[in-house]
Amino acid sequence: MKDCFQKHLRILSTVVIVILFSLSLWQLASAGWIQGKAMVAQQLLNHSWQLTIDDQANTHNSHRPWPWADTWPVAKLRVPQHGIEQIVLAGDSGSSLAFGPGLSFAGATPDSGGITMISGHRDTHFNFLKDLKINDRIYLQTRAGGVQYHVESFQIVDSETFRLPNDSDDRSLVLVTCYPFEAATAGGSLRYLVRASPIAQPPIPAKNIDQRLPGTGSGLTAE
Amino acid sequence: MNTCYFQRVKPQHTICSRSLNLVRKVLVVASVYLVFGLLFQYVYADINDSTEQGADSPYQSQHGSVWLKPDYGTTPDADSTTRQNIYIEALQMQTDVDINITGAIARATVRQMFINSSEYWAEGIYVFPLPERAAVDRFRMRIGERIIEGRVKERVEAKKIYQQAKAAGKKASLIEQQRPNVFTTSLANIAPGEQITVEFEYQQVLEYRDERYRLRFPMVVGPRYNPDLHQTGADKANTALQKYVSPLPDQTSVYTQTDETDNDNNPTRIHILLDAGVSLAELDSSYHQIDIKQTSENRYSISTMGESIKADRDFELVWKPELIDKPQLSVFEQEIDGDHYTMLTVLPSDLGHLQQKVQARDVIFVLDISGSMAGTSIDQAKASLITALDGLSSIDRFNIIWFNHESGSLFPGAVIASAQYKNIARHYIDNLQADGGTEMLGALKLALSKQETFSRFRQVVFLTDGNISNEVELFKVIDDQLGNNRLFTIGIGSAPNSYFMRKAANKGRGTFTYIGDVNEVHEKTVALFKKLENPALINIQLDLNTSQDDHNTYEMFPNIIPDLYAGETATILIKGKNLPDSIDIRGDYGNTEWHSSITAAQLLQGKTSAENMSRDGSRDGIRVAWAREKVASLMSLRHESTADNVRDAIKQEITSTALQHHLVSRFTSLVAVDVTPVNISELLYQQRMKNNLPHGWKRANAGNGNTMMAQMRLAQTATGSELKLLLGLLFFIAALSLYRVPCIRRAYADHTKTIHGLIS
Repeated sequence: MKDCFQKHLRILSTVVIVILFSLSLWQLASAGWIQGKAMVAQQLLNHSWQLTIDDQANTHNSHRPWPWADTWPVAKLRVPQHGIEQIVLAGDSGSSLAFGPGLSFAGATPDSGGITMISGHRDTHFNFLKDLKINDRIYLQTRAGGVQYHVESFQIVDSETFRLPNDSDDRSLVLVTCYPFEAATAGGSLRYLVRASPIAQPPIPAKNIDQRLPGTGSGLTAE
Repeated sequence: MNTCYFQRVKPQHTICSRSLNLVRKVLVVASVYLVFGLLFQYVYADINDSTEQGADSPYQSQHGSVWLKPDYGTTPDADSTTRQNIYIEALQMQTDVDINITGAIARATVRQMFINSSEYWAEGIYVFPLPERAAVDRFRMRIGERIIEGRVKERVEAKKIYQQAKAAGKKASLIEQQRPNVFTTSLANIAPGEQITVEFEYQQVLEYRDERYRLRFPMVVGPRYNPDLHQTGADKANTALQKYVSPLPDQTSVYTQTDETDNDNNPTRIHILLDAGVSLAELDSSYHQIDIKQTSENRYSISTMGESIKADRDFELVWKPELIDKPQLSVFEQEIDGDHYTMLTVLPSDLGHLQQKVQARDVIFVLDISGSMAGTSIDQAKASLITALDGLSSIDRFNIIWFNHESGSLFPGAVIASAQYKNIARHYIDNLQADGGTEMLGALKLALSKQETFSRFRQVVFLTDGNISNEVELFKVIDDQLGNNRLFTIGIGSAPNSYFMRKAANKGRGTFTYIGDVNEVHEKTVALFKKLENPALINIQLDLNTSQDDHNTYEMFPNIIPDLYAGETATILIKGKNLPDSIDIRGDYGNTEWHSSITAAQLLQGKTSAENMSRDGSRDGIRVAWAREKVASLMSLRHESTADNVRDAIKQEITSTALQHHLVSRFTSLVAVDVTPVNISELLYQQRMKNNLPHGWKRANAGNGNTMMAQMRLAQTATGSELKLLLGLLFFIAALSLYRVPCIRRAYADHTKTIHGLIS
């Protein structure tokens, strides 16, 4: 009787253990899959980015990293201080962000007027945003050329109500990721915004209107 | 024997359990540490987050409301702590609007009074909306009795002039266009206690919709412009205001400060003189109480009630002219500096009459079912397709085409919209699943297939959220196969290739609808489908007949006249060296052909009516309307091109057109500068004038309903990988802890066995 009970208990616990282990394996594997995809894709993207910049004549048919891809590389983002080198993809939909940071279609590109907005997942590519400090340098290379930015400010916003106004006189780079960085669940509405201004090309005058140095009265403008 | 068993078992048991235990302990401790670490961080982050939301945070930069700050330099390296920001509410505003309406043209004079009640010199900046396609062509600054006229300059130059005047302590003002319908006025060096009025005039060709003319004077720039945050309540805003440190040096981009409280920030008074030209069936204001006086047969004087109204919702005046049962054509003509400007308005017959002559149509729905559409987008798109099916009459035909990386259709060709076929379609729509990549070419070829009968009027509605990269190929298909098709493109979300969609719709003689918010897909597509149900006058063609050899000198906008749907009008603006001998215009309505011809005599009559119009303050209304239309059409051409040299060339042309016709445009501004410096040594304080929150809007849903300006939504930027990791570890620990049970039991069993053995 006792043996029978123990035998059943043993079978039951083995079944439960197997189930729990496979659940555990499944969750860990899918976590690994997300992280792995994010890392491996960047390698593939590097290749297609190289093709993209080599092929200057082709303006619209960009080189897709794999044939069925919904997206293609548009820029390379470098933050040497934090050892970051990433290929930026076209579009910031979920299907692009799984593979790399995405450039918003709603925004501008660095060589045209307007805000360049790049989003990335906080737990993969854009985890480094939390380490950025004011005046850190960011380099963004596009087919048109490279732009150097310096980090200017940080901001936390609620994506449900916040909309980034896109003024074509403003040539800032805005990096977006989810906030808080440590949250375990996805889908929160808070976003962490890093705003960086171009250094290489001086900001166009519109940015500098209304800047007068303190104490000098009316004589001086900082154009 | 017994001892032997004991000696054999015991060491094995010890090694087994010890090493196992050690491994187990390490694993459990590590897992527990990880799990709790993650959990703690999560909770901590939540707490952290709620404190971060407090007003102290420098991140909370954009908390609306007014502020006035010393105009120090804000270089990136400037130490924010050394800046003494003072927040005073100093400037108030008051707006007076006078509008003269003649026929379909309205000319408005807007006076914005800036009142500086502080003891500081101030600069005011006010962001405000104007109607779509408003042509601002006059600007002046009133200082006491003096009037300083604004001059048109290239945008950059105008700004420079303003800056220099401001720096030199002169009174200066500037009006700029930020978006087609959003403008800013800036006014520098307002003395303490002073009132200054800036005054501008704009002209607008009125919108005609649902058989009614609508004059809209927009008074709110929705908080969508305002990167406001999730805080609500005036208290929080006020604390945020006091402790606010500006992290963004660029405060001049277009966004507004909206007031959270119920103050009236901009009392407004509107007065309108309406000369309808025809007798009216209706005249009313949509949202405000008005006072109407009829001055003569077709003339009315309209004012808003009371001293002023609160600028928290748009003012709209609606009137309905009496229609007849055939399309009508009205014409106005003006001669300015040797050029003839002509405005033709085509007014289709009324809806009741139209419904007896229904235009049979084929409707081809093309739906993107790629993976990115999954969720709200596809659900709303499906629901709106089903609504659209209900709108098909029994003489219409339809088909449904889907595409992801493949494409296919419900029926091999368009079928009659019978109840039976509609049912099949409903079932089919229900079963569509969003999955796969995006490849539009196949679907486009299917939709524009030449095998279909081309004699029918065909509307192809393309709904996608995808990024299209093979535009060249797609445009070729459209060019080759358009025939009798009209292409209506609908782009969803932040990703659609607007360049492609807009140009495709233009080439396809249809419209482009952009839906930024996936939650608005149903509402907006249904509105489009409703409109498409009643084509009123299609295939409109206009011929300018002239004996002179100057046919090519006519500049006509729009180049291709769009189809008219019920309750719409088409306005065509023509410029030429000479008057044409006659103008022929033809089109199809229902199953009948409509043709109308205007002779030179009628054109001259049009001239007299235009002169009447001029007397009423419109001066050179048609010329301005023509120039504005040219700028608008060039702007959309510029949107459609990607080559930098083309864009630059178009920009040049826009600039020269706007400069010649004294218009404010994206590339030109009007600037007025007083000659005498007034503010020699004082520091200037800058204030962004606050706008009222639109009527009935709450903070929480302030993101809805306003699409006037390019706004960028933020993407979803986290994966569940950390949660998955956490869950994985939790399951692992649970499995481990269960695994102990049989092990202990076995050990216990072994142990008892041993003891039994020992005893025996």
